[in-house]
Amino acid sequence: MDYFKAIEISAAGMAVQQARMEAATLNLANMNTTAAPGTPGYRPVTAVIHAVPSFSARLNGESQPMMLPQAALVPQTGAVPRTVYEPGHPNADAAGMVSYPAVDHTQEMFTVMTALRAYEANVAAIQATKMLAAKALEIGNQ
Amino acid sequence: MSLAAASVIEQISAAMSVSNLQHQVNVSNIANRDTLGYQRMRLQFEHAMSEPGAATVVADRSNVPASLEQDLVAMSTNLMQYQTMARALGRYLAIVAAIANPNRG
Repeated sequence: MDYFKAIEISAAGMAVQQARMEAATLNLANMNTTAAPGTPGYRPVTAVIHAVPSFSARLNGESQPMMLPQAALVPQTGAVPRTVYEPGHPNADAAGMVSYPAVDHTQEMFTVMTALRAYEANVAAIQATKMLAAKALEIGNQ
Repeated sequence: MSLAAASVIEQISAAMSVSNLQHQVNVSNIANRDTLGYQRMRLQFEHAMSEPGAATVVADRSNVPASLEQDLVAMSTNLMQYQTMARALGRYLAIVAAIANPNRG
């Protein structure tokens, strides 16, 4: 019975949710970041999650390795910046328009909430794994 | 220890192994909720009746979306079953020990 395998999976899940939270908070924090005309401004990031074989599976050369989630923060492509007419702004262009990053506030808050819940679920999974191990150790103590 | 006692212990421990495997499946489904292209997993019990503990992990092809709550409920249910089996095994071992040593407390 490999309890550490289950804990390794949950820990990877927690790291992924942490990355999603990081991406969302980064986007929210830079929501109103502006840049001078002609210079690249802030590009919102997304946590892209892929499945990779676990270290222990690679080490043991398992034929069907256990896949763990792994996240990478990648700048979004094709996101059109939000332009606002603010002629007095130092970063306004000739037409008086200021570019803001294409951050969807609602979407980012949704990501924050779902990441939080998923993180909690992974914590609950680790607690359950610990309880399984503890119960197995209790056998014979009665 | 009689053969019957050994058989009971074997069966309970096989069921606990299956429950442990089920826990790993539940944990994996929870951890990989947001993973691109992840195929949910489930246990298959085709040979479990003839061969205790013979459950295998297979991809869940049902394509039925499961909520986080459903996964957590499945994990809690499995945890309760595991606890019950652990307690039953502990009690059974205590009975066997009492039979083996009738003069002991």
